[in-house]
Amino acid sequence: MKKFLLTLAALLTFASPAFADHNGKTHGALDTITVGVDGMVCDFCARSLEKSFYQLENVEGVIIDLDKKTMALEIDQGTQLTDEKIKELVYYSGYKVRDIKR
Amino acid sequence: MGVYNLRMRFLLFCAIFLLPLTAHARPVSWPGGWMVMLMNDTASNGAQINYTLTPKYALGIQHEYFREEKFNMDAATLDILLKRWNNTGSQANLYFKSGAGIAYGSDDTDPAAFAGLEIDWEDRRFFTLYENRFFYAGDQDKFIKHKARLGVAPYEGDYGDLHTWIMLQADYDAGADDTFSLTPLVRLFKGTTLIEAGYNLDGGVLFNLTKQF
Repeated sequence: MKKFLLTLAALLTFASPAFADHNGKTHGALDTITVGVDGMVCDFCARSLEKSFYQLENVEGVIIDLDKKTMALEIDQGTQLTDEKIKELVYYSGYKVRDIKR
Repeated sequence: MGVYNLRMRFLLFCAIFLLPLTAHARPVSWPGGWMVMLMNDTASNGAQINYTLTPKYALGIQHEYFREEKFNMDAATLDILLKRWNNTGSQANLYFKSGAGIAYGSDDTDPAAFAGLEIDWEDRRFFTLYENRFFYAGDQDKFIKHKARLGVAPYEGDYGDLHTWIMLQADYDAGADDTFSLTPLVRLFKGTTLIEAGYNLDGGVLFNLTKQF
């Protein structure tokens, strides 16, 4: 019984909502920012958005939706990614921000 | 023979025998991005490596071999995004493409330079492009070429899918033996790799490959 309780305690301790990202780095909960991007019609060209946003330390996911013309940014919960920074990186990637929803 | 050697031999084969290309992928990518382009058409075979400095400027080096006139050109290139129109469902671009270097045949060497404008528009179903190229290489060659493309995507792929375009390219060169030519081609891309393959109605092969890093 004691062994069972210890095992259960260990499982509860380590079974936090952490997971590994695209780089194998472990993270906790994420916030999602949905960015409407004008001009995003081409998969080949939209790679620039991934390249730009993955350079930020707190960005763990960049999900492109060509149908909706949106990009979902998954960032570490509790960290900041300002509208200005998003607009700057989208511009650097060759596009224009339509709207930002948090 | 390793896979690497096979791949290198294939690329070399393409570069030498298939490619008299002009670059068809957009010449400016993202700041810090590299692009390798192999370009082959009915007139020349070429290769270019470029580096995007800012959202509007890319620098590179280009080698091109002109098969009929039998001369080579090595040039430094400068490509500029003059204007981009981003709309919700479409994008259009105006580029200035240029290069300067040397042209050399079996006998002599001449200074060489080229410049041109490219304008394109696309949504997820349709693609149009017009491009011109003013080329000067002293006694080796001089020409003005015009190119236009129409394309249609048979399906709208999601991000990460294999994307397919069916295109028709028209070329006009007043000084060439075949002044006007048509080339049906297929454009395929997935991820950061883009391939174009076509067959000119006058018998030439078109093959372009672009890889972004």
